[in-house]
Amino acid sequence: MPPSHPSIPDRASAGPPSSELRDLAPEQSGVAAVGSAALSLFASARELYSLFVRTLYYCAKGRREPGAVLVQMYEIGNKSLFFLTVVMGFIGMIMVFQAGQQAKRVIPDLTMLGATYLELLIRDLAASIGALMLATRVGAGIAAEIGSMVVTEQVDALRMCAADPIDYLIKPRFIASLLMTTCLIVWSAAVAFTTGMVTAYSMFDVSPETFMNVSLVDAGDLATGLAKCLAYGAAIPIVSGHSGLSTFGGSEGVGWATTRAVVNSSLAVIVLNMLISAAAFLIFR
Amino acid sequence: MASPRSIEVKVGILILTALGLLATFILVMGGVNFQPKYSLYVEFDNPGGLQTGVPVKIAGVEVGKLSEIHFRGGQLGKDGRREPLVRIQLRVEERYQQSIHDNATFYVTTQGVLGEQFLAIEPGSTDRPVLPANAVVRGLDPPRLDMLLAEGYELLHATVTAMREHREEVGEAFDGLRKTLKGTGEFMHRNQDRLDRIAENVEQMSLDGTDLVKDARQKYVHNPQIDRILANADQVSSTAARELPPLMTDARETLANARRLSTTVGGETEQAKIKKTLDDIAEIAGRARSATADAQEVLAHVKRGKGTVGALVMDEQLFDDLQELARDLKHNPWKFFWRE
Repeated sequence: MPPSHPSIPDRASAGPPSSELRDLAPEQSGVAAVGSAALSLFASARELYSLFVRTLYYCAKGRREPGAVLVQMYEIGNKSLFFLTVVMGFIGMIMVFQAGQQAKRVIPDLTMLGATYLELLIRDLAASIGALMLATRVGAGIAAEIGSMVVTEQVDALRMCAADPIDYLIKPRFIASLLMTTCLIVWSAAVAFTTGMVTAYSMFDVSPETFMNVSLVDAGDLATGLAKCLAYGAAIPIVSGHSGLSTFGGSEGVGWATTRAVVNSSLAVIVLNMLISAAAFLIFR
Repeated sequence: MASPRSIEVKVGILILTALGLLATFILVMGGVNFQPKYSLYVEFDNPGGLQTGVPVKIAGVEVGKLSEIHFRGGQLGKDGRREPLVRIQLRVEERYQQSIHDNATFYVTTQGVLGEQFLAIEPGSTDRPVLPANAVVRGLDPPRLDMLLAEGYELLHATVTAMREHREEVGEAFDGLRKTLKGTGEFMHRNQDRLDRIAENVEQMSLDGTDLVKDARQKYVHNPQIDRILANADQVSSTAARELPPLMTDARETLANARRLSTTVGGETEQAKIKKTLDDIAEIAGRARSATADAQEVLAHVKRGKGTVGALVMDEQLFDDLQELARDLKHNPWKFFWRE
C-alpha cells in the first residue's frame, strides 16, 4: 500500500512543499545524508515494485472495465497522436539531416544512410524518444489527475468503499498505456522514417528506394524495439501513478507530484533503455 | 469529450494503423517471398563477414538468401585433405535453378566499397549440366585484405630497413646512375649527327634486308627448281628405302662369305701355302720378265735385219721379189707345176 500520510520525502530531487514537519526533522549531513538518500531510493523502488505487482494482479483478477480502459486509451493514445507525430516528424528530419552532414565528411556515399537510420530508429530512437515525449504528456496527466484526487480525498473515499484505487485508477491507465505506447511508437517510427526519407531526398539526393533499405534490420532489432515499447508503456503509468498516489499537501503537492512524475518517468525510460539495450546486446549480438 | 462510440472507432483506427505498419514492416524486412526454394551448400575456408540472412545474387539480382552457417572444424576428407572450415547453406528460388550450372562460381563480395557483404553467383557456362539441389560446391574465398596489409607492411618494412641500413650504397648507386645517364645524354648530344646517320643506315639496312628476304624467298622458296630437287631427293630416298633391304641382305651375305673365307684363310698352314704360292708367282713373273727380255732382244735383232727372219722382214728387195713372185704366180699359176 502506498503510504497514506507520507512524512518523509521520497526523493531528494522531489523536494516536498514546505511544511512544519521539515523544520522538526533534523538536517542530515555527510554519510547520514547519503544513507538517507539511499534508503529513500530503496523505499520508493520497493513501493514501485509493489505497485507494479498489484497492478498486474488486478489486470488478471480485477474487475473487467472495458469502458474505462477505452477512455484511457483515447486519452493516452489518440490525444497524443498529433503531438507525437509533430515531434517525431521533426526529429526524423533533424537526425537525417545532421547524420547526412556528418557522414558526408567521412565518406561522401550516403547509400547506407537509410539502412543505418532505420536500424537505429527501430532498435532505439523511435521507442526512447517517443516514450520520453509520452512521459511528459501522459505521465504528467496521470500524476495530476490522481494527485488531485488524492488531495481532494476522493482516493480515501474509494478506499472507504473497499475499492482499491490501484484497481480503479492505475489498472485502466496501465493497460491503455501498454497498448497505446506500442501503437504510438510504431506510428511515430513510421513518421520519423518518412520525414527522414523526404529530408534525405531533398537535401542529399538519396532516392527513397535507396533510403528504404531494411537490410540492416533483423529480428533482434525488432524484438528489442518492441520490448522497449512494452517496458516504457508499463513504466510510465506505474511511475506516474505512484507519484500521483503519494501526493500530499494540497494543490502545491499536486504540482510537485506532476513534476516528479515527469522526471521519474523520463528517468525510468532512460534506465530501462540502458538495461534493455544491454540485454539485447548480450542476446542478439 | 467525444461520444463513446466515436472514441471506440478512433482508438480502433489507431490500433489497426499501428498493427498494419508493424505487419508491413515485418513483411518487408523478412523479404516476403512465397516462391519455392531449394538448397545449395557452399564451402569456404573463410567466408569473411557473411552472416545468415544476407542475400544471394546473380548479376545483382537477388535470387535467395543465406540460411545457415556451419563451422565444420576442418575435418579430414576422404582423400586425406583438410576440408574447408565453413559450410554455408543457401536457399535459392527454384525458378533460378536452370541458370546455375555446375561450373558456377560462388564468391563473397560487397555492395559498393564499404557496403554489406553478400554472396554472388557467376552462373557458369550453358553447355554444362544444371547444378542439382543439395549439391555441395567449393566457394571462392574473399580476398584477405588483412593478410594483404600484413604482408605488404612486412615488405615495406624490409625495404625501408634495407634502405636505411645501406643509405650510402644506395646513394652511391644513384650517383653512379645519375653520372651514367648524364654521360649518355652528353654523348648523345655530341654525336647527334652521327647517331642520325646511324639511324638512317639502320633504316636503310632494314629496308635492304626486307628486299633481300623477299628476293631470297622468291629464289629459294617459290622456285620450281627447288621443288624439283626436293622431288628428286624424295624419289631417291624412296628408291633407297625400297632398294636398301635387298642390298642389305646381299651385303650381309657377302660379308658372311668374306667371314667364311677369312676363317678358311685364317689358318697358319693356309697362310704358309698362300705365301709360298705368292713366292712362286713372283718367281714365275721374274722368269717371264727375263723371257720377255730375250724376246725383245730377238725382236731387235730382227729389226736390224739380221738373221733369216730379219732379212725376210726388213729387206725390201726381198719383199718386192716375193711380191713379184706372187703376182707372177697369180698370173701364171701353172709355173708351180711347169718349168719353162
